Amino acid sequence: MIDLDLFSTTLQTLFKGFWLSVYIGLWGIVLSLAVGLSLALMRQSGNRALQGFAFGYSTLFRGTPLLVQLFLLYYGVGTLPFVRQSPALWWLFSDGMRCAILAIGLNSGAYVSEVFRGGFQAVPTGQIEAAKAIGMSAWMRFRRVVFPLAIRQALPAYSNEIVLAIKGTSLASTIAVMDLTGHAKRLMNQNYAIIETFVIAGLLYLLINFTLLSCVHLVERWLHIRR
Amino acid sequence: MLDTIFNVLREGWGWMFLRGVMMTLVISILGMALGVVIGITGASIKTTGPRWLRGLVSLYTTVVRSIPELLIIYLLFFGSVQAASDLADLMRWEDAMTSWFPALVGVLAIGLIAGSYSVEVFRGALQAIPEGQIEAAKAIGMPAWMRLKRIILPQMFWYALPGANNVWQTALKDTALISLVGLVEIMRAATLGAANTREPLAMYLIAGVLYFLIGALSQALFVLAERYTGKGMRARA
Repeated sequence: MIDLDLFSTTLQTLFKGFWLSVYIGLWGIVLSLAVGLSLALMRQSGNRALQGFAFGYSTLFRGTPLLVQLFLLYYGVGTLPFVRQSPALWWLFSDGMRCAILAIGLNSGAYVSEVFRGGFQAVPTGQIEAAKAIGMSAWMRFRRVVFPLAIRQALPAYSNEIVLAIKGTSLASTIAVMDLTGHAKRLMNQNYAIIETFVIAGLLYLLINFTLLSCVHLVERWLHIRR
Repeated sequence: MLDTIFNVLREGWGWMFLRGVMMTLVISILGMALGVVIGITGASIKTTGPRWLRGLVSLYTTVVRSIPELLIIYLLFFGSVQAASDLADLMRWEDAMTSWFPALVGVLAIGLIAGSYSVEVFRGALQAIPEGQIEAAKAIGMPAWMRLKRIILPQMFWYALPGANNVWQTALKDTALISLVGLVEIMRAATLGAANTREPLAMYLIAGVLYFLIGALSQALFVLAERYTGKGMRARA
């Protein structure tokens, strides 16, 4: 039933997209971590304006589809005159891959911020007070008390966001980036071996998610050992 | 920017978006209904079914949840094209492709995806019902159907509502992906508008606001539903 020739060409073509998907996914995750962590810190800060901004951001980005955000960035922002005139901005918004990374980072960041907010809120106030009482500086409190406790609480939910970010990379194919889904779609149109192509592409996504989830699992175990 | 938005809305694109909103609502509501049916069935199997069926349900939730939604939509769409290519003359496939077929793919895809998440949501809800209550109902001789109607379902819905809300919001936003196989919903209306008017920023901003409004409104409905089904629940808890 399985045509070996077809299988090997499919696999070779899909692998080209595979690495691009991994690249977009990893940068997206790094960006979303930065965005999410800073938003969560804004929510925790006493500043009303910062809190409002972070709340508005997460409501807005969680309330609209990633596809809309991606198209807005790629097709929409690129039409603004000042973006076209600024070399740095044009570098960012003229390229589909960079737009995809930005969209995933901004979108996933909104979800990540909520995960980390939950983590920060789960840190017992008594511990923070105790750290203050023995004269720890704000930075050291964060590094030694708040963050280690928050990350233990947040890690399982954070792993969900990693999976969603990786799945989100498949949308890069809609703005003409030849990622894994882009190559899969082109193959489906060429050889009509839809089920076979789909199964292989699906397995490759599973491989990415499985690897990343295993890493999270290792971190989780490592944190438990040190506790 | 606001001028441009009002202009494109006045130039007939307002109607286009209104049709898009209707289609988005139809697809996501039907898809979610299918998802809830799959979810309740899957959850019942996972809690009380035979071992081999339980394994099958776990396989389904794992596979569907770990593959990108877009790929699932492509499989359903292009897959059925492949399967039906021999029957093309019989079914006038070309006509179908442009009319009802993307909608059918949309409902199926949203149903399968929402279903895979719903299984876990409803399983959690089923397991939250105290075992003693069901035993008590059995002890006073309630038949299985009445146990389901009077004891299990009313409580299960309250437990499941927050999770179901998440699934619904995701399903609503996933409908945007069906635009990529040709369904004219909000996202496709925006894409067509962007190509025709050369105002992509305005078009996608309108689309974003529309999704946001539908999401916020349905969020309010879920809060109401929670209050309604939660009558007497908090007193006990």
